[in-house]
Amino acid sequence: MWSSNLATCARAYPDAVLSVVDPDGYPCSTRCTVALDDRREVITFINLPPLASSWRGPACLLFHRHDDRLENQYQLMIRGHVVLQGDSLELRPTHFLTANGSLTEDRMPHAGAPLQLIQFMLLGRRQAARYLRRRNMTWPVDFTPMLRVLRELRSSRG
Amino acid sequence: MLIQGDARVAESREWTPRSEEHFKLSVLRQPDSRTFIANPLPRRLFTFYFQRLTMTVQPRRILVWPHRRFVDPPTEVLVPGPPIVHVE
Repeated sequence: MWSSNLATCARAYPDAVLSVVDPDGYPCSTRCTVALDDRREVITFINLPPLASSWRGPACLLFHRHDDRLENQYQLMIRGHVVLQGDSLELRPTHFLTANGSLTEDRMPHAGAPLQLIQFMLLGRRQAARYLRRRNMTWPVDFTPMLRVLRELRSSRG
Repeated sequence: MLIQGDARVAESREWTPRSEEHFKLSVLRQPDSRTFIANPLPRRLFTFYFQRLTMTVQPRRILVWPHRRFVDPPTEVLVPGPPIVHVE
């Protein structure tokens, strides 16, 4: 289903990575520039390499960007089907997905947006609990070695 | 470069030299995360964030586009008995 909000978000990325499953069953990906058509609810490709000319079928388009400190992260995935339309390939989306679970924005949770951070926490806790319940297991995390590494890094800076 | 291969996934439950190396690299690359990890409240609320999976890929085929010239056909390398690549 098309999402105008997330289509607008997608336009902010300089490029994306298109992935399909090749005839041998392995994923095959290429970086490309895309154009999102709100009217036709399809995505067209500006500069697909020759490698992709034979690609058809289920596909996903991944968008991701961040700053040089790996903060201000944005992430968006569009799933759908690649089809030949005229002489060109286009992606007909079936799902717009964000890593933060939002249906309207693609920014990853951050301290500056506490409500979004809480939503992400609840989503993560719910999904982790489901994972553990399915496997009938617990998964305690020992933070001692992580805290030791942080102390070592702090002391090595003087 | 595109590496295709067969993947298997396992829970990273043990702290190993490899996980220490990855953790150190991650906090060096994302320095603001140190404040988050050092605080006991986020550690308690976001425990799921530290329950990680290790994906191990056995490469089968490597495609290389020299100088990022994607208009050219890639050079293909078949990998019969390859080393294992870890992605965490």
